[in-house]
Amino acid sequence: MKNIYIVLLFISTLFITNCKDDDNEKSYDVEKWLDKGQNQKVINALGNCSQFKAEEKDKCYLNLGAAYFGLAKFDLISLAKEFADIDDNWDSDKKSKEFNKIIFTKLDNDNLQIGIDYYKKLISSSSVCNEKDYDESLTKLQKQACLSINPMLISALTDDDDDSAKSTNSASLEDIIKFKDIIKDAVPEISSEDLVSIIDGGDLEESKDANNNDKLDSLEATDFAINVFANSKTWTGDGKVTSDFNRTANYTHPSLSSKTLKLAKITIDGSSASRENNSYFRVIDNTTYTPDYNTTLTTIPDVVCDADNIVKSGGLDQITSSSGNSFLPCIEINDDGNVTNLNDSVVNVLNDDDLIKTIALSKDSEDDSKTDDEKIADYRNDICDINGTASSSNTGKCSWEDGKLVINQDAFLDYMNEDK
Amino acid sequence: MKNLITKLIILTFATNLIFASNYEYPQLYKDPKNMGMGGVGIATDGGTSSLFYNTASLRDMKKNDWNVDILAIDIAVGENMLDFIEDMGDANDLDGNEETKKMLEVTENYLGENLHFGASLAPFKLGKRFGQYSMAVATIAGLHLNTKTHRGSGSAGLVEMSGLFYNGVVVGGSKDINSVKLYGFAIKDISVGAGVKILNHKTISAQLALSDLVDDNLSDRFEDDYTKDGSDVVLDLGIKAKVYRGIVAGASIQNMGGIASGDEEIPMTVNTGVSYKQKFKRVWLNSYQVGFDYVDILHSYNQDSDILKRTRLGATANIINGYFGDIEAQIGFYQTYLTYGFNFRAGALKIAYASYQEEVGAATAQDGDQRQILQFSIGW
Repeated sequence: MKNIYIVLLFISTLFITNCKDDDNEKSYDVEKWLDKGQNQKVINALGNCSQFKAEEKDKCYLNLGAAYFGLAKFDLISLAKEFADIDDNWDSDKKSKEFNKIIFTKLDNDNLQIGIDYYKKLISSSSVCNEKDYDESLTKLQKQACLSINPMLISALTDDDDDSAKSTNSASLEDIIKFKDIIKDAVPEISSEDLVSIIDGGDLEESKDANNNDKLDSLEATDFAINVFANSKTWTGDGKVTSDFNRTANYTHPSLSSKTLKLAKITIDGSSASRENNSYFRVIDNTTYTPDYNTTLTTIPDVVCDADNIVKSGGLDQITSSSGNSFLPCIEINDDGNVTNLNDSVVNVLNDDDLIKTIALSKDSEDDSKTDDEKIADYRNDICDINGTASSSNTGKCSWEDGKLVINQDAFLDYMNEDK
Repeated sequence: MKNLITKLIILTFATNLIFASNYEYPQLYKDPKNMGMGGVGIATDGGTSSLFYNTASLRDMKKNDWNVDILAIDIAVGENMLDFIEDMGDANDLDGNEETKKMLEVTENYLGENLHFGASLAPFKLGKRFGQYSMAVATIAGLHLNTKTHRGSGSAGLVEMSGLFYNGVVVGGSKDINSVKLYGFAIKDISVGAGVKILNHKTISAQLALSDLVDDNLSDRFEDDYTKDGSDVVLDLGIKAKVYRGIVAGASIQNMGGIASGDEEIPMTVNTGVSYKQKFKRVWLNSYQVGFDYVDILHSYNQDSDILKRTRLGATANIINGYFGDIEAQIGFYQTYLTYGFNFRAGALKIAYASYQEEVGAATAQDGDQRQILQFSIGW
């Protein structure tokens, strides 16, 4: 019996004195949690990576990026599973649209942007995530970050291009998110499904197309507001789109109080198509700026605010022609305290070279008959409605500034309202 | 994008059965009987398999008879691997999209799980005692592979693989020394042993990210960057002695010089063990032996410094021992995980089985990989 006690004592001592490599243990746990989809555990364990140095820090950023992508369900397996759920009997075009819907729905998830921000910490700039730099100058960890930041790169890399054909153009998921945000600035009520229907030309739900003209009602409302109340033009679009009322809106919020704002309720009449009417509120900014433009402000759907832009109880139906400033649409104000408007979004973001590249290259990712530059030029021409080569005398609906074609909100809205 | 996802799924599946890496201590050969009793083998009774644990135990071979094993085949499979194959088989029975969905579900279920396969073949193992001397020789060929797939966007990449293929000859001998007195304390039945292993091997150690899988030159690069061919001649030394009644102590130095230096290295290890054996004059339960080993005292395995991962504890008992056959059963703890096994002999047919868990995580009890070994051989 005494011997057994000695053995037990010895074994207990081994357990108590056991040496473990905590860093390896933690690293192993992180990998396992990522694989098992326990992303929050990874985020909690890694913090902001400040405890790591050099390459370990890069690995940490990569794992945090992966964890946030995992939270957004934007990893290979999750996407593949959702893709596999698409009805196999649909034709390839319908399947492709459904897949795009899945992708666009995920773009709404804020975790995706946080993940991108962590991946970006591994590289000097997103612009290095191109086919040529990928092959010639990136480390293995940087390559992996780039494939997450720019998934379109995977398609380029799997093509059999020789060295001279390798593109130096980069595209990024972040730009697609920005593109989505512009559209939301134009049409706050838009859903991801609607967005894909507009981009891919898919069928709209009846409830979102009261006048049955294959145009999204909420987008028509913005188009109407820009033409009639921002640019003082005569509406030449569908006669079923009319304004119920328009009046001055005086917000007391400091970011809004100095602006000249007009509030309009725009209705799309569905009677001729035996459909329910749809109504939307648009806040038009007619303040004189330099250079001058009038535009619509981005509103927050489904909630109503007071004059100080604070959400209050009640519904949008309490905004009437006579409700004054007691009930107003809520205006989106960004972290810097600035009001978001359609013109700034379109001009600042859609004319960004990287973004337009991303959208153009993603749109035609499987088309090998055009070079990247041709795809980009074609896409600009498409938005601006230009035949031939763009020039100062051939700008279509866009403008020509400093030797460059500039997309404006009117061209963008027309493009969005076109049948594709 | 759709085509891209399809390509990647294909790549993932195509590589699923070939790749992996982990914190396991690579070992050339694991005998089922030793693994059933917690992996102990330094001071316990030996046989021809002592060539891989402690050459001094070669003296435990039966006196005067030839110890012969012909066509000894070992198959070692991780339970994850067995389950994975079964689940993928179920998925394969489905049609169209349902098959794809099921395959994705199975792939996701096994992300981060170690898939292990090992096999070895010893065309012959031969041993004999000549008075105070014992000699044994074995030819051996084998492989062990570990594969692990990941979600893909983290630092572990998409697929990991580690493995060793080997073949060669192992020769060893031992000599009995009656007894010595040390500080007035009599140490009896001393045996010393030495051996040599001459091996050719190929190692694989790869951590493949999505960035590797989209590389057109992967197949060439894989051969150049992730596999290594080599050959080694390593020496083994061992000693074993009865220190008090049935208590035997042993020590061995295995693989002096190291096998396959690099990622999948089997380093030289210094190992110690102690055992206790008791015999009874009866047919049933006529002997049992318990053993305790602490291997790799110098922590030559650089995976970690874990003590419990290097600790083995186990017992074996002879259940029945008759003229036509015998049955032994084993139980133990290997790297803190429970092990068990049995070996059965009927005439010239021998079957041995063991179940154990290998620690593939970075610390004790972090991620035990359940494995089973089955061995068939013809011998006497």
